[in-house]
Amino acid sequence: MLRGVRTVVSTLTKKAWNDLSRRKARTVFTVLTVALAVGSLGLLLVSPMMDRAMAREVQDGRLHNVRFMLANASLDDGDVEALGAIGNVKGVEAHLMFLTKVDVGQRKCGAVMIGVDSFADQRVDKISVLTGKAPALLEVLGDSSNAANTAFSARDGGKATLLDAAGRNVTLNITGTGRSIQFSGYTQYIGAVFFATSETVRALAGSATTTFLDMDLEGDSEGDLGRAVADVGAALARLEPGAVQRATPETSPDEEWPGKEGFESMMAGFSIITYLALLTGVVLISNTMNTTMLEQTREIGCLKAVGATRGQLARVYITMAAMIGALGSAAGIALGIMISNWMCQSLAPIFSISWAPDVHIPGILLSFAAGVGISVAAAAPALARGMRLGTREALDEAQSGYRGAGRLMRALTGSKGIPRTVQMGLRNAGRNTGRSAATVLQLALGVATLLTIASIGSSVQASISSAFDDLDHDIEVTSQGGLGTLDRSVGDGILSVPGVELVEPYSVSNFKLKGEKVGAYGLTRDTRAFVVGIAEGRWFSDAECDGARQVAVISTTLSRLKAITVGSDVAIETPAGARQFRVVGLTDTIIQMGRIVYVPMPTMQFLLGMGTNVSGYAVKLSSHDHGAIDAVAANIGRSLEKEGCLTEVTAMYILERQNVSGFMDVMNMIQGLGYMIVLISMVGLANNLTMNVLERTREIGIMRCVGAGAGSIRAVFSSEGLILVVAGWAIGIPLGFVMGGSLFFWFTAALAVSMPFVFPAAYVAVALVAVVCVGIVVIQVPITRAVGIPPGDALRYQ
Amino acid sequence: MEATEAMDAGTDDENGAQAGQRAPSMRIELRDVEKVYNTKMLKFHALKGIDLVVEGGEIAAIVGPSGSGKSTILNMITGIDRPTSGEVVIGGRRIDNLKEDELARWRGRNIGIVFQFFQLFPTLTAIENAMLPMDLVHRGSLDERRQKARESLELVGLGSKLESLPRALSGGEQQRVAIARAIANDPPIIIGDEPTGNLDSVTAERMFGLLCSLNEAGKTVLFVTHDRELARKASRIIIIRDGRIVEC
Repeated sequence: MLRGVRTVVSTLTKKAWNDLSRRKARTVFTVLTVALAVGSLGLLLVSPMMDRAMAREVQDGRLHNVRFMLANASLDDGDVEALGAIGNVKGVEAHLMFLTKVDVGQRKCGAVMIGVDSFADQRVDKISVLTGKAPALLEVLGDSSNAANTAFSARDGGKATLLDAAGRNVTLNITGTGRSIQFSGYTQYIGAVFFATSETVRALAGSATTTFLDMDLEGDSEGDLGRAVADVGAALARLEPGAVQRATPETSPDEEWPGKEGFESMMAGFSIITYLALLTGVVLISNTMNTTMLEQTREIGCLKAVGATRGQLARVYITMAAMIGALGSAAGIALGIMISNWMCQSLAPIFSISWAPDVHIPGILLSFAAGVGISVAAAAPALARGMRLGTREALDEAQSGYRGAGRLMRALTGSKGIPRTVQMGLRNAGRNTGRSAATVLQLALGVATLLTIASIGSSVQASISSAFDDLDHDIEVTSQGGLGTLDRSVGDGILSVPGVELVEPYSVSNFKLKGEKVGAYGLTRDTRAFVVGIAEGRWFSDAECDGARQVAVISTTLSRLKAITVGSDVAIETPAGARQFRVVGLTDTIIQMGRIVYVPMPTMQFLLGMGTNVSGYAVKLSSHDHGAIDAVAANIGRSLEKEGCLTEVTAMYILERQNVSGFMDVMNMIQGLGYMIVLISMVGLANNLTMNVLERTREIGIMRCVGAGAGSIRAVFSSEGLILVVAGWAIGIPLGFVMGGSLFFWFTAALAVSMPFVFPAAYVAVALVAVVCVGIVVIQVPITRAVGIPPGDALRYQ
Repeated sequence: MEATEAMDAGTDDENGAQAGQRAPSMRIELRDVEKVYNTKMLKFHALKGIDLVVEGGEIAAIVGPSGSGKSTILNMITGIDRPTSGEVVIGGRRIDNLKEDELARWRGRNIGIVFQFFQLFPTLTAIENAMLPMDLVHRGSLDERRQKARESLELVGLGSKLESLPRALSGGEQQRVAIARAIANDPPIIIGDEPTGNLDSVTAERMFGLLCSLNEAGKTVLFVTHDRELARKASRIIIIRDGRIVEC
């Protein structure tokens, strides 16, 4: 008996395999859809893979836990050793930073030199030599991101002509290419990065350097970090009494790395898209397996008629579904590995890490299980239905559901103006309502995803512009890199340039408010270059400004986040240490995502030890035309250079454009993923139409018999496909609005910042054109098949 | 007018209506037709050297055991399949070498096919099914087509069921719609592949009566049947066995 059972089981398993191999086209198509859906899971693996790569780089790179940013410091080996001996300090490195300019063709572009005592013996924030050799005196390494992110592209063996502190050109040999997690990111917002020995940096910069005193600690708890800051701060006060801290000391635990917050936000965005892709994929697999199983209803009846039990039936068709799932998952895993590695390869340079092909084994196993599981689960309802039917009903089951078109459908499509073939196509879309609904849902998800991404992009763009509206000036003049100070004569010099209407000093730094890093601006009492909308309380009084009082106006975002009200006293960590401030007002700005604190200018000057100097000047012009702004900016730069003052002159409209563009680069990457979802939904459409063509092969034969040419058959299936596309687009619009609005609301709520949601109506039309065009292309495959079947073969099709 | 000239003269005018008359009779000729079906598993010789002539205005039955090639002969005549060798000449025009679209158009104008399982389009009403062949060849205006389809359906006794979908009709009613569709373009040849095979005897009798009346109106009627009783009612019986005509 056992042998008999084994024989039956193996026969039925063979049947499952034979059924698949007999209908090759359909099997391949179904496997492909499963593969696409499983492949999209590769996106979910990007985050853990990047984290893993980052962790490796962080460990190799020995990132700092504490950083002091100092001016006027001249730490020697003995000082560094003394600092290294402080309890809990594992390693100390003093990096010198010099902001300069480099020749690119005829122009001078921003650049930064980073100096290290010895490339061979780096203890913290390691700079890796990727190609060539470490530089000697008056030589440099070029950063590996220079060519990608800046205008400077010379490499190993080339030369870099840099400006020294006295304004002289100094040409240095480039001995190789280097990279550092800490410093390579400067290529994105300062300029070309060059690594050199500290001696080389001092040779060019003299005293115009900033020292990054970077420390790696044994323990990285909050207590450890706080103690280290206090101990090192005290030691510095003894060793370098003349040194000035440019910003509050930076602290970061071991798992932190530069750009991690931005990376996690990006990954959160990707994850949402991935889940949407997965949902679309699941719908696609379900639809496909459901259809495949429904077609087996008659065969199920035959098997019942020859004595197969329900258990045996279940084994056959679950085996079939599992085979499809396994084949699809195997292909999907290969696709997923390619997708995840491609994504990581694209993201790695943004975070200044290298990327080698990687495979996430747990992810692969989960993807395989998901692909098989979803395929089997999706087949189950149709299988259960087939098994529930009586033998006779199953044998009689018409394959293509001859339900016909309802009255409403006939009324809608019975218009005299619509050709008969188009009427047939439109009504056919309503024949298999389940399948059509699933296809429309997939298309709607695709369109909704595109609209969601577009609306989030538009909303953030609008918010960036709104933030820049609060910076009501056309130009900012700062010391090179923004870390030095400018004296009063610079302001006078700027005012003398034609076209300048207003010059207003300001100072800027980073503070910490209840553990939150915030941007801090020191502004004049009667500021006209900054729009400070007071939502509650008041602006500073004359007495507070004149007396350099410790008062602050904070953003409504910070007020909400940290439960700070007007009139309360808060401790704020400043470069001069922790200070108590009285909050006198709230402002509804969204600059820096609402993480902003305003203090009176004299207060900031005191805290930063600037004397009467300032961080920069905000300049308003008589003309806001971009051409005029460019011209005046160039004149300001030249005028100040003539007086021996090296400054950074920034046109605000360019800065705004860069901010938007930087954000849009990320959005475009996410948009690319959105198109992947559209692709999956289009596969669903092609799948739907292919199944319809296969099911109605005999009908196609009949159409040929009554005189239909290729054009008529094309018209039937084209109209069927396009009506599904348009229906998907129509449903996708409100779905996209709701999804976009919900995501944006969640995003802004998480950041506790208030930003308006913008839904780009124009993109609705773009989405229609896109899905119709792609839809037309995609449905050509099944339509070509329909048109190409000889009538005799079509009539004989089973 | 030669039959071929008449057929070629039947080209669409600006409104897509067919100009001119069809030939009063349409002679069917199969000249040494062979058909071999080649599949991966086997090679099946369905027709072996078939020579057959059916004169215009005849009503002929093709009978034979299952697998003998009856339906294959019909497929050759309708152009649904093409012969492996030999020629198929209808109304003096060779059709086996026409391009697919050309053949479909020719078929729509000159052949009306009635299938065993009716093969109506489920999303079209009875009148829309009957109009379809005219829609495909753009015969007359929409109103004219509708009128002609109504007349065809009334002719077959379904004047009260114009807006019914196939699923709402009985088997006999569906077959009558199929006949109305087959005569929509007033084709000279009516082909039936077991046209009464799926009907009860009373309905089958009624159906055959309709075919006879079409023949009396001058059409050539050729049908395949297993039913010897029905076959005897034709003016001519063609017996086929193992791919050869044994009696004609």
